[in-house]
Amino acid sequence: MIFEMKHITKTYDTVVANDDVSLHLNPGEILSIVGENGAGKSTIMKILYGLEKPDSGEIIVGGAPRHFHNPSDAMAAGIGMVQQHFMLFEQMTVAENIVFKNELRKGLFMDMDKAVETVRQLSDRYGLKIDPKARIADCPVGLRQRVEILKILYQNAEIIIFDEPSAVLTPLEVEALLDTIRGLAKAGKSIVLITHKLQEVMAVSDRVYVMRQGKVVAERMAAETDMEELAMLMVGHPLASYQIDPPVPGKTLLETRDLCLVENGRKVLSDISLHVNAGEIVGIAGVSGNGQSELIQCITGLARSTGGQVFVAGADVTNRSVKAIRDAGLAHISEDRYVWGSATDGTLEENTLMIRQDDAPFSKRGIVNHKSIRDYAVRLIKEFNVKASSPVQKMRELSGGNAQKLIVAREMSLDTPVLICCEPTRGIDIGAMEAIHRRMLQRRDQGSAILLVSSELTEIMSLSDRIYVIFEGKIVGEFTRGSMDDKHLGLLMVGGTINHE
Amino acid sequence: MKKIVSLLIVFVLVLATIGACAEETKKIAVICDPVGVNAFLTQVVEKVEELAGTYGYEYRILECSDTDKWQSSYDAAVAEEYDLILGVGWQSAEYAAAKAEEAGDTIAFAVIDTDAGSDKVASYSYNEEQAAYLMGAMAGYAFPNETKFGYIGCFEGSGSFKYRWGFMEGVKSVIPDAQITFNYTNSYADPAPAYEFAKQQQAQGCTYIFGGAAACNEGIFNAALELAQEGKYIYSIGQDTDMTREDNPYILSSQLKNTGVTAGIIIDAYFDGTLENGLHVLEMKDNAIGATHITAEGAYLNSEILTDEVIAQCKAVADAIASGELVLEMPASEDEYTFPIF
Amino acid sequence: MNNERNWKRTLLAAVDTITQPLIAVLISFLLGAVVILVIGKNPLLAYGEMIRGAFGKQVYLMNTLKRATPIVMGGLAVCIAWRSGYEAMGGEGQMILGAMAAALAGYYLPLPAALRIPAALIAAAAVGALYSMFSGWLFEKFDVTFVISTLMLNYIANYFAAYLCNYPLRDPDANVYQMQNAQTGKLGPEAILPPIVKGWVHWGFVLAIVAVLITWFLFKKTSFGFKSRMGGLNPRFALYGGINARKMLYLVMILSGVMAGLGGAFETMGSKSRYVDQMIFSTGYAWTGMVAALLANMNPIGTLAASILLAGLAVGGSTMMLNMDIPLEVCNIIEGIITLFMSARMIRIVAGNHRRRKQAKGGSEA
Repeated sequence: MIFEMKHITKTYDTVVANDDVSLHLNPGEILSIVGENGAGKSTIMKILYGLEKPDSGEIIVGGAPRHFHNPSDAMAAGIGMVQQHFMLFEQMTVAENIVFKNELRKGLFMDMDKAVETVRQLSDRYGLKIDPKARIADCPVGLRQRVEILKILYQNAEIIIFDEPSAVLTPLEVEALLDTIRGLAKAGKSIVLITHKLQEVMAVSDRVYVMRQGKVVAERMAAETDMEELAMLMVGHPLASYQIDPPVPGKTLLETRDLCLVENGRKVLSDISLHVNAGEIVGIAGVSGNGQSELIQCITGLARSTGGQVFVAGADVTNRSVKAIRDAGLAHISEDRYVWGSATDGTLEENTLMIRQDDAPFSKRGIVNHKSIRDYAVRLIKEFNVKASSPVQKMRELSGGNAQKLIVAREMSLDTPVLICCEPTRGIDIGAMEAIHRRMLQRRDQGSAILLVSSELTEIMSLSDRIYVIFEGKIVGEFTRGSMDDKHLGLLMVGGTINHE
Repeated sequence: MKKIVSLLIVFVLVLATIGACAEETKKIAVICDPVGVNAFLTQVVEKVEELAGTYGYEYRILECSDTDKWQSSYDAAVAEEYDLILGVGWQSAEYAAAKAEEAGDTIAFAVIDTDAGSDKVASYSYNEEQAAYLMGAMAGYAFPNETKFGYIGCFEGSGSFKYRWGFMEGVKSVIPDAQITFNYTNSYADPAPAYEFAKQQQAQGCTYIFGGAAACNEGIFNAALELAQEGKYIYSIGQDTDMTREDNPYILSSQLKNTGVTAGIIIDAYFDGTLENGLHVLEMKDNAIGATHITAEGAYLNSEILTDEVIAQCKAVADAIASGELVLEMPASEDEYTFPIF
Repeated sequence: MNNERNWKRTLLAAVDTITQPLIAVLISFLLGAVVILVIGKNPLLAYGEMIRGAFGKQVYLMNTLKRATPIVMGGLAVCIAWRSGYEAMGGEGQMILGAMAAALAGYYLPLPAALRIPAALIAAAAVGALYSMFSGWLFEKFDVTFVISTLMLNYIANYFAAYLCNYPLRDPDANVYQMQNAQTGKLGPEAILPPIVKGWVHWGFVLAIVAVLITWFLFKKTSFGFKSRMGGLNPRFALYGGINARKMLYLVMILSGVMAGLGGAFETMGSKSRYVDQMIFSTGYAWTGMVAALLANMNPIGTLAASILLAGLAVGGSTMMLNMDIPLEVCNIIEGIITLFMSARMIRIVAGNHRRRKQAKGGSEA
């Protein structure tokens, strides 16, 4: 046993983050800790890494009880952590970042050549290919993560913790990361992987802990379990597959005609024509950065299109104000919940009031009614199962999944004919994801027109009645449910063409 | 810690003693702008300090770092029952008048260099036209062959009329066909326009420029130094206090306004019991106004220009004004007065 | 999710926001005490004198409240603009022009006596609002940051007002012995905000309290307050929520300018009875108001309290100087240290706004 945590309990304010958690790690093993957001899996690792102090319990590393006061203590004991948010100096090189704080010196100065050489040896030994002289600012996210890993290896870590490592990566980068993890284990390192992506868990781990509501609820050998069982353990009940009735065709509620956007002389959107009918979910499939964000911004009034038209419920709303477009009957779950979709320093009730601030009963002639605002917030929190302690707590205190649920609650409660869902379940756990999907389907069945943009192909495939494929700002294909498999879709998404036989 | 405690005890004792003899000691408050090195104010402070030895009074200088402090200083001085409140500068007029209305019977109020316009305040102002006349006469005696003279002031308003009038009359008394050109900096402190005007006036043929532009005068002085290097000479004078100095021989004299003498007059009158409210206009004979080298000593004398003969002539004029032999009657407003301007 | 818990949460948040400024004020006074010790005086006696000189007698208390009047108005101008994410610092310029406008309207407008006061107040509010809008316009059209535009506009306003009261609009009643007077003509009694009761502070202070309550009401009870707060917290979220950013910008700038302009008018009509050269600039009312707003974390009622504290510091200083012969600079040092602490907060806000706006611009051109 390389480390062991016994009976760890940790409470924040009124929330019990870890409740009598005990777990251990064997040498050379890849251990996964899975659980919904807020299940306490990040907290337990932060305790191990010295970022948080437990209320009670014991940590044993290398056979002796330890008390870590900060990450340096943990690092000295051979524990390293790859955080979700990288701590790198943008303007410095890969090698400089890796040797930072433990510089190799030649007299008074940093020995750059030696640093570069050391990094090169390190990257060869673990098969982590990287140019030590590249500047961080020029490195894509996947490479930055690699630098983080090398930084930890350079400090001779034996235990490496990965906190949601794939959240920020592209599918290709995820593959490379999983290879890296396997390689590290093979080289004798012990790995802890915190994630809620079950495919990754099944692909690399030897052993899995499942956490729910601060407790460890199950321990499984990866070989003896499957995704369905893990998912069920995470949410506490079996995940239902969606029963989707064939669409009842209604009239067109959302339509774009030859929508164009030219930015700095570059054509970002070219002649996009699409429509969404009542009672239908239409997905837009595509690799991120092919114009999806801009398309939605042009439809919702956040950006001005340079050509074409947009109709919402029959009304021409081209380049009208956000408010006019929303008033025409459109709600919009934005692609990034913290950038566009909420004010993190605002209270929950402020975040639920947004958009309706001028509507009765929340305000009359500009004077707001606090009671109705609070009641409304409390109602949405309850109806959409948002885990929150108070309607006046700050948005930033919610976990990602709960924040998303609150945004979904706000937009869906507007009861508009058109609903735009951008990445509605990005970075959230299965339970919340399922709840949001059910809501979307429910709205579809009630006759709303839903436009779904997602980088998760499975999400698009399972929910959409029709799918448009977008590539470099153009619609390159349109399919109805069942007429296409994901291989063909994938081909179109990267600019291939279909061989008609 | 011991030190602090002993310090504390000492100061409590000191305070107690001060409090004990407060009954007999008169207290004087001087309210003015921040003193710094402003000669207009240091003269007053030095005089008040000097006379404290004679009369044995206690005094405080209340420096008003902003315009609102004028009022709070007046309020505090009245509330803390000072016996004589001496305001220096135009801003004191309004507050002195207002506070005198409330407390004028128990507290004496005096202001220097302005008119409080109240019969409960002793206002001390100056007949500056007499000194300006003297400077004009000096210009005439020092440069008898010139006909063109310059004048640089701060603002053209009626407030500065007495300077203009005095200077013009003084020049005319010596050189009847003299012409004077006027320029204004529209500032009390910016030397740049004064510098430009001085060069322009030199180009127009002026050799003597009346420096009536407060701190802007430095611009004229610098222009004189620069022009001298090109072999062109202009001469000027300073205002209020002695500005003559060895490193700039082109500052011939200064039109003096002695606020220290004024403060002395007020304090003497107060302790004699002869301080009278209302407006007092101090004149040459009071020695409150005058000119460097003529009625007072100076730091540096340019004897090439101000020869003994010129100074003797000027002194005769000063004596005539002081003795009342020469009476300067200024017209009530500028509209009634014309003078050739080129 | 019960009410008691909400209430507790609000209280905790309030304590949290108050602690930091309280510590700043305490440290400032401690450092001030060290300075007083160094010049050989007893800091306790000195502070006793200062407190007595600020609040201990009616005349002192009234002077403190009088000085607090323009400060609190300047503070409200900052609260309104900054809470909405616009770090405008133009309160000084707006206050100067407001003070001048009130002085001119009260002196020159040929109106019946009953209309003089309202006309002068409206003139001051309008001038303040227009001047404030101008910096908003520079921001919207040319992307000129508020910090730069408002600071420049402050200087322009001060020089312009100095020119007016030194030259074309100098007091026409000044006699030949008042030649240095750089001020406009004295307002007649019909254009003056009189004391509430003889010997008390003038009505401007009451109007300032009304302004505090109005601002508090706007913040807490209106959808305008909600929209401006959201714009300040996350401009992209506000845009996404259908809030018209342009309209909000001008509304906020107008309101902020009105407060500053009125602050100037109160000072002219309640305290000085005329525009006196440098009356706003040398006193630094607008800046003290900004410090007050920062101390109060943009809470209008807290700003009022902080304004009175800061005004008391300046007014009490005169008495401390009189009775203990302690230079007035000690008060300046204390205020300076408070300002220093608060400027850390200010820089954080300004930098945060800058970052958020940059992101918002990056997000879309709308």
